[in-house]
Amino acid sequence: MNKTLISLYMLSYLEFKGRYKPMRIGLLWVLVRPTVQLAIFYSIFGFLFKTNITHEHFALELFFGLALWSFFSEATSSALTSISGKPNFVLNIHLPLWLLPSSSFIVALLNLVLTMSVFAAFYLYAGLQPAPGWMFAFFGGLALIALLAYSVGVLLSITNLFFRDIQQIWELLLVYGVFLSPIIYYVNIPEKLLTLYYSVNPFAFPLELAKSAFFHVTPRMSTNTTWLTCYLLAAAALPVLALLAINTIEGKARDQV
Amino acid sequence: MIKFDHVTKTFFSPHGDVTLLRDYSYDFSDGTIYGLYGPNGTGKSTFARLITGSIFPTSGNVQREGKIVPFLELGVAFHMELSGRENIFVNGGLLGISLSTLRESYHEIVEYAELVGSEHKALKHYSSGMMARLAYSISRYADGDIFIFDEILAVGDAAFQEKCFENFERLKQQRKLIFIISHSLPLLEAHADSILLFNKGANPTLAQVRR
Repeated sequence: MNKTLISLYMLSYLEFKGRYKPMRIGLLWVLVRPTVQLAIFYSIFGFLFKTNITHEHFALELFFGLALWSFFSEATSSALTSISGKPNFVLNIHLPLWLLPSSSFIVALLNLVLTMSVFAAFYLYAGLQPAPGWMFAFFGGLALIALLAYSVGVLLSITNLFFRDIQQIWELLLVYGVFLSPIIYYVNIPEKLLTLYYSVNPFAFPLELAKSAFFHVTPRMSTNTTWLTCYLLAAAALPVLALLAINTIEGKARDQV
Repeated sequence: MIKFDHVTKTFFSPHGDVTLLRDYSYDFSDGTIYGLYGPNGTGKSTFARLITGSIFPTSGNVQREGKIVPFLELGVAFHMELSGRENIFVNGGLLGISLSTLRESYHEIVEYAELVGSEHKALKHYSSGMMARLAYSISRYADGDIFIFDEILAVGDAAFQEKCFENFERLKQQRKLIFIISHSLPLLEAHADSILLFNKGANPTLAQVRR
């Protein structure tokens, strides 16, 4: 393994293990938290708000949507402070800057994998069947969300060095994003504004795509081939641009740490 | 070898720009121990960071021939909640030591740091001396050509310092290039071949040590 990969592994290990080590049940929280969260959703939507729910497995669908949103939120928020919050790593160890937001992304991804294992267990227990071609829809949606989360995380990590207010702004945008995305409910958008909505909120399409693997959801933009092509090209270009940006201004960025 | 080629380093700030090096050129040759000495704020750590590449020159160029192993802060990646064992692998990995070397040398690292029996305890239960010994013990396995030590000698006792100097001599015999930053001039005079003297507002000047 080369030095960069070892460094990335060690940074991720440090962040993941360091987070749970001081706790009594330690790493078990990674599984306990989503399980309890899902139990809470079932109790709320199965009893308290039962009459308002349109379908039987709303709690499971909500859990799935929130898991993907939490991944995006965690990956970007922790990446945002990944460089500014570790001045010792930046100045005293010879590490490329991009490794720091990358390790935050890996930790968030690991948390998502474990949360999804809880989802899978409940989904199978509920006797549900995934849609035909579910693997393509699920992993395709997940890959698009991951590309988006990684790119935004890298860009936020360097923006935060020059403009610290971005922390507060991003926090507010994330709150707004929960309600603007089809997580808790479906946003009713007039047909003529659909393109604008899905372009402004790039999280919405991959979320619907991933959801379509397990629930009766149709990604609304999947038939608009022009938009879809542009979206996929942008999704592929964004991480390249983000890494190019961090490498280009690395010298100035290091002086800001 | 490290070559400073017309290097200028300025930190830009709304409160006023600070220039610590101005058009500085010098070749630092292998097999030499250089001491870096001067008051706080004169640019010793900045100079060291320019060598490691953790900051970039404003203009000019720093050429590096060989692998750099920086010890600008001992145990820089230590995590207080993780055990000594975990920290050996994490710190060693971040210093560029291969996992196979760390596995093979694990017991030697623990023994050299005099931590046998304590390696599974969380680092928060270690004294500062124990942490310094552990960090230094790990660093001995870093394979490189250029080593930079910043004030590491301030944290250990006399026996620890003796171990450090034995290691510096060993590295020097292997034709490694070594930089030691210290606030102790007698200590640098005793062990360095040349001393870079730092003064506020001026480029460092080199003084040969005569023993």
